[in-house]
Amino acid sequence: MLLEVKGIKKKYKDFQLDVDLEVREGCVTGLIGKNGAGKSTTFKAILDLIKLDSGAVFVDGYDIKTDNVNYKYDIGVVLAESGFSGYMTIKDVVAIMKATYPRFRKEQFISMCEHFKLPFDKKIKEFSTGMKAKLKILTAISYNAKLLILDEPTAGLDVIARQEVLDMLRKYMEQPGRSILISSHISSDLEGLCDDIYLIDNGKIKLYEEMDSLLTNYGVIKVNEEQYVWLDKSYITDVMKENYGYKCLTNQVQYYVENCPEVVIEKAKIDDVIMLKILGNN
Amino acid sequence: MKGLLVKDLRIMMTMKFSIVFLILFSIVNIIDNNVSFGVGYTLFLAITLAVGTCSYDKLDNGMQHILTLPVSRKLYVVEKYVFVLLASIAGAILAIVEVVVANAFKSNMINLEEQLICIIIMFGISLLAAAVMLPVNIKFDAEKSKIFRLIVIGMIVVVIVLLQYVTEDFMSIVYEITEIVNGIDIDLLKVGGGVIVVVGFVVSMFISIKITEKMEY
Repeated sequence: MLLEVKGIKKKYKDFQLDVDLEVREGCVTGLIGKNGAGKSTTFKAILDLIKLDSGAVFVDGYDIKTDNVNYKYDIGVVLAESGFSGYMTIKDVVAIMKATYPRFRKEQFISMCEHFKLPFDKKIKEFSTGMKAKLKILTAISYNAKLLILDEPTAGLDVIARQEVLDMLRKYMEQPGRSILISSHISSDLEGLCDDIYLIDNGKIKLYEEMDSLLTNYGVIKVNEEQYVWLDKSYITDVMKENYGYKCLTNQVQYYVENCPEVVIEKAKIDDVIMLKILGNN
Repeated sequence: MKGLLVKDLRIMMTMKFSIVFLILFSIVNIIDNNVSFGVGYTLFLAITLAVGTCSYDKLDNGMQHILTLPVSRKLYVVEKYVFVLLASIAGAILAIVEVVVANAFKSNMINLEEQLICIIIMFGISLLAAAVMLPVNIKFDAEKSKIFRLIVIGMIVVVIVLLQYVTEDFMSIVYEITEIVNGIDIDLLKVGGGVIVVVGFVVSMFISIKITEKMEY
């Protein structure tokens, strides 16, 4: 297990974080949820940027509280609203990275910056949103980190820039022994990238599922009032009232395909799961 | 720590034109018979720029990113103090160079030994000033730090003005204190001054470490 988050709790005035999660070696784990669900707070807890009320975080078996520097050589981090000072240039970043990480691969980093046409002499604050995002990712993957922790790395990007960033991550995962924990509220990004996902809402994990299982076994059933009455609810996990009747989430879509052919059944996408888990009734 | 030092140096280099201009300003003052002002200004500039890197670190949630680098909060603070010390030393060396250059313009009319003593004293004072400024800059953002500095300076001015009104013999008290200081053995004064600077700097660092360890980003 490359990352273990065990029982971390943090109480704020009107919000409480209470999370357990794991990232296995060789896997891309997604953390999804609506804005304000606790994704960034979870990441801050993992990165020791906030004080926890209880719980522990282990990176590659090391407790970050007792080993709070060495583990950072093995993690690459992208934070949504933070990075190198905007007054710096890529040349400055290269100098800082070379002085900070023994495993920093300068030539490869420069080559990748050139490939993505990132200007070396321009201040980072003058970069476009896409350029900043690419620079953050390139910096995070430039020193052979085992674990990437990415908080909304594609936020604010157009579809082409997003694809380029996701391709970078796929290429990063080609080497064995690496893992990624990535958060996003753009579910389509995660569908093509993640091996498993956690859904977080109001500071708590509402769902954990393997991506294959989610896309194969989960379905959305749309029924009117009458159909809802006689519908077998054994495998219905969440229900939401709609104008036409009810929208139901099931984790055994094949059962309903075989046994309830008269109802409308659709394969669930991540967005459907989020909507029903968060807005539906259990 | 090396990475953090490189970062802070690179931040300071973004202000290179301002630095060059202000150095020239100091030299002009020295040539124009304001030697102590020019020297003091150089040292103060070095300290202010070095301490100011704390504000740059905080811009755009920068501290979050810095703490994801392989540095502990304690190391971040220690590096800041090391950087300020190195900047002060660089400032002192620069001040010496300015005095020598100005002396060349003034046909060797400046007392270099006297100015060296002045530089050493101001070096100590600037480190003490940094010892006060650093915890404030670490704790607060740039705007609040400026306000805090203005409040402290304002309070000092108010206290001095009030003392003058409240104490009838204010000037004689100042004179007496000056006499006492002049009467102290010069070597004891040097050692005592040095101890005060070192202790102040180190205590300030421990305070800053405590502040940083409690902060959430």
